[in-house]
Parts: sequence; structure tokens; C-alpha cells
Amino acid sequence: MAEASITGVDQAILAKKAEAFLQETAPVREELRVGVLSPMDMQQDTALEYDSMVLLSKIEQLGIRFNDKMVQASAALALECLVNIANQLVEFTEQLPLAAAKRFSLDALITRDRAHYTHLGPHYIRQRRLVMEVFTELHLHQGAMRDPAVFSQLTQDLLRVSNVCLNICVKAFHAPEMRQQWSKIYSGFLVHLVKAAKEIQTT
Amino acid sequence: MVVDDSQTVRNIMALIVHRLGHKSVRAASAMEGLTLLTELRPDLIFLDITLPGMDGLDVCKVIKNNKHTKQVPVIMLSGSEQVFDKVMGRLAGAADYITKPFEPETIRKCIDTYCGQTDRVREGLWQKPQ
Repeated sequence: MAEASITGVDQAILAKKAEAFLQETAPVREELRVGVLSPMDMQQDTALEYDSMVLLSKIEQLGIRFNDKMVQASAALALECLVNIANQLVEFTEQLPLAAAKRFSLDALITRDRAHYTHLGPHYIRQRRLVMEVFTELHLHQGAMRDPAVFSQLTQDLLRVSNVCLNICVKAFHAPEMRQQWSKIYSGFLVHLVKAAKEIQTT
Repeated sequence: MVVDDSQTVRNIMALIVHRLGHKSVRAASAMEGLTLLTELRPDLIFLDITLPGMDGLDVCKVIKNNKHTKQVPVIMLSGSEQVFDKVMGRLAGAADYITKPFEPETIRKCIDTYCGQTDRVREGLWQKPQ
């Protein structure tokens, strides 16, 4: 596997970063649950909601494309949709003050949960984003993407990245009602993607 | 009223409309939307062009040919920027055309144009902090 291109030192650094991110996240969550919202918090929630609407409107179009029969007929096109969705979510998440303060990155995210990813690893990332060419090199050229099991694992991995990012996006809201609202909206979006992925796998 | 087969789009639109101080009803298909129109008279209809079964353009024609609903402005929603779609929308009687993905500000301008100015207090909600 191409994982060999990541040196032991790199892995150790990424693992440390991931650990730091994980440790620092829990206290923030608790802190946000308590207390009355300040005008600044409310203003930030309003701005975040606006940006979240713009983001969701964009990724929903990719979701609709992912659900298109023509796209579903090609494993490469379908995966490209999921890669684009994941990358847009990572880009958005990186800009959230909550995540930026914890030095969120795709590398750290994947390294932290490496055991949960069948295929994804740091070698799929270049310049902080998932790279479709790597999927092509590692899977398409071997014809493995036509294998339903491999395709299923890859979609699961990509959906996991999107899910983690969406969870952080929800936690970035200060107001509990905002979190509840956006948790519901994002869940609906994700369920739609999962259903479409299952349809592709069964056909 | 929002007629779109995408639950996510319906949710975003409903949230925008709500934040602007208005109420919304949602329909996931042409038939559902037309059924709702037998009971409701909305101030504005956001109608997706691509709907399962009867498409948005045909729904728009039905709305515009009905004496009870022809006065209701229809805004077509589409994932395509093609001029052809816009022209077809106009020919079907649509008042305006919005391309997806959209910004909440675009929806607000539409609501302001066809339903009157949004409450000034609520308007502030959509001014992004610098």
C-alpha cells in the first residue's frame, strides 16, 4: 500500500496533533452547554447559520449529482462527488473558530480515527484535501473500484469524514436550539447521501 | 410555499423564510403542491423545475391557468443556469428564476420584491458581521 510513503516520524507528529485535538474538544463542549448567550455569541451564531445555509445549498447540489443515475453508473464519478462533498465540508470546518482553535485538519481527523477507516489514510491527502487522483491510482487502475465491497468501503470512509465535519459544524453553534435545528438538517442531508450510496452498491 | 423534491432544499428554504418572519408550507412533489393549493393561497411559491412526475414548468402553467392561483407569483428554482430554462420558466408564467446553489440573501430579495419589505429588525439577522 502507499501508506509506506508516510514516514514513522510523520505518523507520530500527526498522531500527537490528533490527540491534542481530541483532548481539547471535550471541555469546550461542556463549557458551551452552560450559561446565557452573549450578544457576541448570538451574532456569531447568526453569521454561522448564514454560512451554513450557503454551504448546505452547495453540497446539496453535489448530493443531487451523486443521486443521478448517470453518475451512479460510474464508480469514479460517484466517488468524485463524495470527495468533493467531504473536501467542501473540511474547508468549511477549518474556518470555524472552534475547529481553528484546536488546529483541526483533515490529516489529524483521519489519523485520530484511523482504525475506523478501511482505506483512507494520510496518503490520500495533499495540501489538506482529499485528492481524487489518489483514489484513481490506488483503486481505479486496479479495477478495484468496480468491486462492490471496495466501493462500499470507500464510500463509508468518505461519509465518515463528512459526518465528523458536520458534527463539528453543529457544535460550533452556541445556542442549543441552533444545534438542535442544524443537527436535524444535516442528518437529513447525510441520510440522503447514505441512501444514495446504498442504491449504488445494490445496483 | 416551497415545492422541491429535495428535503434539504425544503429545509433550508423553510428556515430562511422563518428567519425572515414568514410562515412556509412545504411540498415534495407537484401533486402535493397542487393539492395544498386547493386549500391554501400562499403569497409566493418557490417551485423546483426538476420534480418527479410532473415537472415544475408544467406545475407553473397549471397555477397560472387557474383563476384562484394565477395571481400568486411563482419563482422557479433550478440547478441549471441555462438560458433555455429561464426562458421556459418565463413562458410558463414564472415571475423570477433562482439558480441553485443560492444564498439566503437571494431568497430575501425575492421575498422583499414579491411579499413586501422584510421587517427591519429581522433584516438585521442577515447582515453578516464584518
